[in-house]
Amino acid sequence: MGIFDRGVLGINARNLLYISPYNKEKSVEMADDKLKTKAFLSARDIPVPKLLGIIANRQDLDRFNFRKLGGEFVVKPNLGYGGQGIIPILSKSSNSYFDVNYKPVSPEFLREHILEILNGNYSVIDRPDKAFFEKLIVTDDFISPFCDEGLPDIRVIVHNLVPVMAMLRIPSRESGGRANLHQGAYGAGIDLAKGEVTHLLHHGKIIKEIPGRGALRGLKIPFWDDILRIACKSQLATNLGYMGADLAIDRHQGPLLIEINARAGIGIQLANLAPLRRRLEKLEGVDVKNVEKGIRLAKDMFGYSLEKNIRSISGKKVIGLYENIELINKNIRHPAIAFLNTARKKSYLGLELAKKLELISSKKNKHLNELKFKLKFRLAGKSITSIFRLDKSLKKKYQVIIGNRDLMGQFLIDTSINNLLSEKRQGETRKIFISNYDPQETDRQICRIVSQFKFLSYLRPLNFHVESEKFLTDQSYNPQFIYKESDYDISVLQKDLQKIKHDDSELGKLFFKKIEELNSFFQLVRARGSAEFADLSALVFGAPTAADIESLNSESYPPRKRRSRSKISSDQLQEIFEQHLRNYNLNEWRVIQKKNLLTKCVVNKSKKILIKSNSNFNEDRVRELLIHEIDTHLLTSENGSRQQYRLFRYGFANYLETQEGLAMHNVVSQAHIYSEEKHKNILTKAIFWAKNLSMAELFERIKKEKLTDKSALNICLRVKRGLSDTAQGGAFCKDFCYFSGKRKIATFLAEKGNLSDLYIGKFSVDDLPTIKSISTLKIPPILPEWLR
Amino acid sequence: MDKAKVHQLLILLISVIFIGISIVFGFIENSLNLLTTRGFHQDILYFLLIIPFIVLLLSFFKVIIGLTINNTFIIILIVLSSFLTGPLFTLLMLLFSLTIGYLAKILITPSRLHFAVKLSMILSILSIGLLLFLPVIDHYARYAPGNNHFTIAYSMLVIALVNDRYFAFKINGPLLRSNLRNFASTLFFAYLCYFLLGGTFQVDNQVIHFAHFQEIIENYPDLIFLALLLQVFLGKYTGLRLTEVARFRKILFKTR
Repeated sequence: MGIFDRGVLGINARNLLYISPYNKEKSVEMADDKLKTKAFLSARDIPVPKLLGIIANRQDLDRFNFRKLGGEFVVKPNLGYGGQGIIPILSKSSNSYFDVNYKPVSPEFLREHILEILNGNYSVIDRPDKAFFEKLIVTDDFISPFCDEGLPDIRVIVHNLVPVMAMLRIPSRESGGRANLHQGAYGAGIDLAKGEVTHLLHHGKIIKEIPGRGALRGLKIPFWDDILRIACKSQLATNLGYMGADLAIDRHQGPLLIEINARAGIGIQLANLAPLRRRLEKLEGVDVKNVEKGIRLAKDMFGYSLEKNIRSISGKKVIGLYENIELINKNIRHPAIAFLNTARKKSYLGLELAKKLELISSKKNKHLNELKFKLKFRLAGKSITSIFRLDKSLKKKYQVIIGNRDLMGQFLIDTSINNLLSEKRQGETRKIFISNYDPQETDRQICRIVSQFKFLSYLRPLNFHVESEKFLTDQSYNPQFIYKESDYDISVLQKDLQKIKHDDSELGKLFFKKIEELNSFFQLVRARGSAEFADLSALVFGAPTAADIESLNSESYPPRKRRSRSKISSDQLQEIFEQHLRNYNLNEWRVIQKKNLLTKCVVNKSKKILIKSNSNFNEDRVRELLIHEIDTHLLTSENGSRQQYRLFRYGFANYLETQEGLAMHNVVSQAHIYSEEKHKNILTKAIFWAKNLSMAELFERIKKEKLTDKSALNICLRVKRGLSDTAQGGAFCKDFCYFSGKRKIATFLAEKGNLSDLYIGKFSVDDLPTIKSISTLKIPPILPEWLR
Repeated sequence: MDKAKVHQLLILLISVIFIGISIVFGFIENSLNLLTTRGFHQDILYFLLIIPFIVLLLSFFKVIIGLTINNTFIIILIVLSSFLTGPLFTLLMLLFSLTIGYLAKILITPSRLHFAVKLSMILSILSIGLLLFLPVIDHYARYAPGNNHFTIAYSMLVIALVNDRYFAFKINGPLLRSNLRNFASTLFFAYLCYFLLGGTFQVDNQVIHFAHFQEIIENYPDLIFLALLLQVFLGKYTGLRLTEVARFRKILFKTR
């Protein structure tokens, strides 16, 4: 009995027609119980966030060891609803935790909160509950630029094993980090076929963009098929006929099922501007035997098919303003970019192209503009024969104009369609359009591998401390390092790497270089401890030559200034960093003190600057850190994150060399501090010497450079990483990048290069011309003071 | 035909038969007459008669209009309390008790006590507060009809239940806001039902009274079966609620 519903699903119909008949009581009970659901689904190979612990009563709470949670977890009520009672913890210090907004959460508060959960204050059915801890999901890069706080998730409504509608929910400050639309979160409809964002909803109104964050339309959701598959599989497992599956994409683990909802809300219709009941009714009586069929059906039946509809209504193909065409003259075929200009009646051809197609010889250059050619061309799968006129002015972006006469009656032009992946360069036209190839997908896949593959962690010996101690007690001893097993991880990642597609465009070449670099890192990890490791390392990173060492020895520095005796504590440094970040208006970055940090300060990829707690710094060191870490690494990373491709943030091949070279140049040119450069010079020399020296010999050699035992050992350990028997000669050459980077920056500046260009993102200075040819490149919005 | 449909039809049939028989034989009317002659107060009988209509109204608000009503039970209790002690007295008692309950919550929260003990303490503080302030409330809003122990005890029961329900009040944050909204809507619907079902409001010596329903129900008490029948129809309605029509207007007026 539905009056005036026009296929829109209301609560009454949802309850009576879908929840009541399709969702059995037992299944609903399970869906309400997050812990049961989690255990049940993870046992059926459905990825869920890792469970870290459960507190079922007061006794459990008293006994619970909070240390085992680490610093990144979420506490949740088992029978909670609407995101109530969830506290995400992002880090911890010695006496407090910190939530996602870096507000301190005292252990007492956390305990009190857990007691409230146990009492049932957040329970959907007002009865005593359990609290549990999950590993914190790190928001994937594809959506993090659009999200102030909280965890964005994807809601997929599944019925009869078919995904019916999907929505991306983005929490906002207003929603308090919760993904509930009625609390002020943003909802974005998703095209089921392509996994792309369609409309954006806020407080029931369709908006164009998230204020201050940008438009989402067309944003591609990564792992889309996997997301649909997980949603369908969970329906199959739980036997809920009508359900909402909530998934989040973790930066490291990919899509994870957060929870299932037996009473999924109806607001999803607004975000998609599509009626849900009509879709559900279409599935009545449809026999779906497996998940894959369900997904295929969903894509065919419910894909956002404006283009398809137009084509079916008009019988005309929808094309963009610029299209790839193929020109055919007898046996000669040539690809070209055509401008479809409906304002011009006739079609035109550029001079260069006419020559390539052998339509004119160089001799016939008189009265060129009067020349006409009969030519065949293929546009959007259609073969068309037309008369082309020569137009000498067609030289740059495109060399062909297709006029209205050849388009009329056959095509519809949609100006928002862009089928070109890159533009022609240097007069040469490339064949660009490649079906099934998405550079953004390639970029995403590479970045996933980069973030999962912690290259240097494989080179850290398991017995690092024991062997270092042994060495310090007996300096003639050569440490024997052992390393963690890696075969499985590496082979899985390498397999994934091999599957990544790339084309032969300029961008494709950059991707290829990065893939090759990652492959060589994999090889290096495999070669740890073997005789080939050192040679391979020199091949990958380069190695200093005798001439390089000679030039280093001849370098002179101004006399060292007298150091101020005042020391700056890590707390003060944190304040200085925070102030410096505020100057750049980089409020999302956080400065955190950490106990077990190998270096005193490091910038990581999760918008955090880590400082070793309880350390002291002198003024020069602070200036150096500000310029090196914030003014260089952080700014390039931040600018890179605003580019279309994530590799600008993660780093294209050999980016480290340029980054370190630029940082050292900045420190020297802006602060006139040379200590870091001198230290890196010794490191470079150590790499050179280590080729033929054992660790003990190398240590002796380095000490001659007036270094303390601790510093000398530190350099030895850096250089001898990756070897098993350090009695043998050989070096790990990664740190050569400081020297080579410095030299490349000097060459770049000598050739009148603009340092601002290197702030576009993280890439090698050698690739700058290629980088600059990327059509969607944005100029770096944040530059250090001296480059503005 | 599936089980649910058979069940619905059965309820429909039974309701129709009962209405028919009841009208012919005057079941309810005779029963009420009998109870009156045996000394039952007419007000009590009226309360029993109107409960199906209160819940019918609430179902209508929920299913057809689309308003959020969470606490049907509490609403019924507030309506009945208003009939017994007057709407102003009930309102003041509720507001007073919730304020005392809320302050007690702020006071007790920092101490780490069991949930059940906390609740007991809040209710104890509430009782003491009422003992101290009841004369003040009574001064401003004298409860009119049966000024006896039963009515005040009944009101106390309502207040204790309401406090128990809203104990989850947080000192701040979204839960407090949502609970306050909930409480406000509960009060609104309770007083709407009270008015529609014949309750009296007195504002500046002016009496606002909607007597039609009371007259009808007292003259034709067998209409109580009609409420049951209408509830079956409401229970089968799968169309959009009015609020949903407004909410989804963008889709409703654009899709073909």
